[in-house]
Amino acid sequence: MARVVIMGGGVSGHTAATFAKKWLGNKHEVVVTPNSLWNWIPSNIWVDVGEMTKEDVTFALAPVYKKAGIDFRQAKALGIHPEGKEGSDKPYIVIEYTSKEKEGQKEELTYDYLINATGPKLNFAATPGLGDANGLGEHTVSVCTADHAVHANHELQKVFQKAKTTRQKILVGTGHGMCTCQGAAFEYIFNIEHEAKEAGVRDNLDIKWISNESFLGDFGMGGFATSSKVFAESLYIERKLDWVIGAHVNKVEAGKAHYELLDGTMGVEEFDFAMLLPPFAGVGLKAYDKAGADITDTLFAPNGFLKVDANYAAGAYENWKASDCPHTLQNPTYHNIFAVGIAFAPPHPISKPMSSPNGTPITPTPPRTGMPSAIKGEALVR
Amino acid sequence: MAEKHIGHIEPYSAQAGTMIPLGFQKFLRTCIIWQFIRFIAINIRMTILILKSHH
Repeated sequence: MARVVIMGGGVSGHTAATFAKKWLGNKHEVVVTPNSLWNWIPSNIWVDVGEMTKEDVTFALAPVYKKAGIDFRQAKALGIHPEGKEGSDKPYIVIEYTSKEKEGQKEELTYDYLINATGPKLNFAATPGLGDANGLGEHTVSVCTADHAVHANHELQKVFQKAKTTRQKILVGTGHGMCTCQGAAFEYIFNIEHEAKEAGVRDNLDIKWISNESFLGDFGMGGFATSSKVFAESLYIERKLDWVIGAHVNKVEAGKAHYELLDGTMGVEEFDFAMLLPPFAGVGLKAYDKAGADITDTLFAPNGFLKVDANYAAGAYENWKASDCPHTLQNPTYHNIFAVGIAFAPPHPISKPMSSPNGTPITPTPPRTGMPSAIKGEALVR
Repeated sequence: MAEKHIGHIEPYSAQAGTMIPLGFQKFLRTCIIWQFIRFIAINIRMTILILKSHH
């Protein structure tokens, strides 16, 4: 029976793994993921305002996979060798263990089918001051992981405490001109507004939205049902949330977010508390051919996401069609490699691409969210 | 003129061209019964969309 290796045990990867086990009855299924816990990321939005705990949104993977008979390796994938190596045509990946018992150990894992479900690299380093290669910086908070969300709630409660005596400013949105996930920030700003009312400090808070959308309600999809702009603006104004849109945050420092607007003007927003989403990139997997030459460009797009059966040559916005999107999520060069969830490279954005007169791209990238990620995992196995 | 629950809106600002929810609209937004009806309706629409996409 074929060996299926799934890189990533998140929303997509875990869904693919469990359905593959159920439908294919595969005895040779391996899940490789660096985290020991599964996280329902969409619910981190409740953790970061204290409505849920980290334990409510995570569970340990090892016992689940043991019960299901799935080989679980707590490790990160470093590289893909789709053509094998000298002396063997069998494709394999190189993994490095992250578990305490085997930390740092490397191993080669052969596969017949490979599913890339590695999710996003949270590219905090893309905006100076937002973070670096190690992750989140010290000036802002994040809602992207359960641990980030716990930290965000601690900081938010401190601000609520200060707001009892001193007016505070909260800034929420996207931390780069090419971010996705505006929906997560949208949920967060309204959660904060609600919690502030509950805490009795709403009147002493200025809460402001900043994003790369060209209009409120874009959400990376160019709006929807033609009413999302009207709907979103109406909600924001009802809850007295101010907004700056068409913004590329280009630098963050203590208490300040610098940005450039679509019209080329520059601005700065001061804050006491800020949640600014990072842009996404691929996790940085490399690929090598049989001779060991780097073929990363063959498998991956420049943003680090895996190429699949999408139309990457659609060209200008006017030519974009829904049929540009992938159907089988299969890599066009190595047909036994697939990508699901956030790990695949979309053909192009959905929102109309825009740039400032300075040439700075300020466009939401295609939205990525939990439910479709899980559905893709299931659909891929089907 | 801005509704009392909104407060002052600066002319020519980004907020100046927005649709301001009035009393009944605001009520509907937090009315459990209406929101439950909308929740069911949205889920039906999503289900139809997903079923249509299955080949």
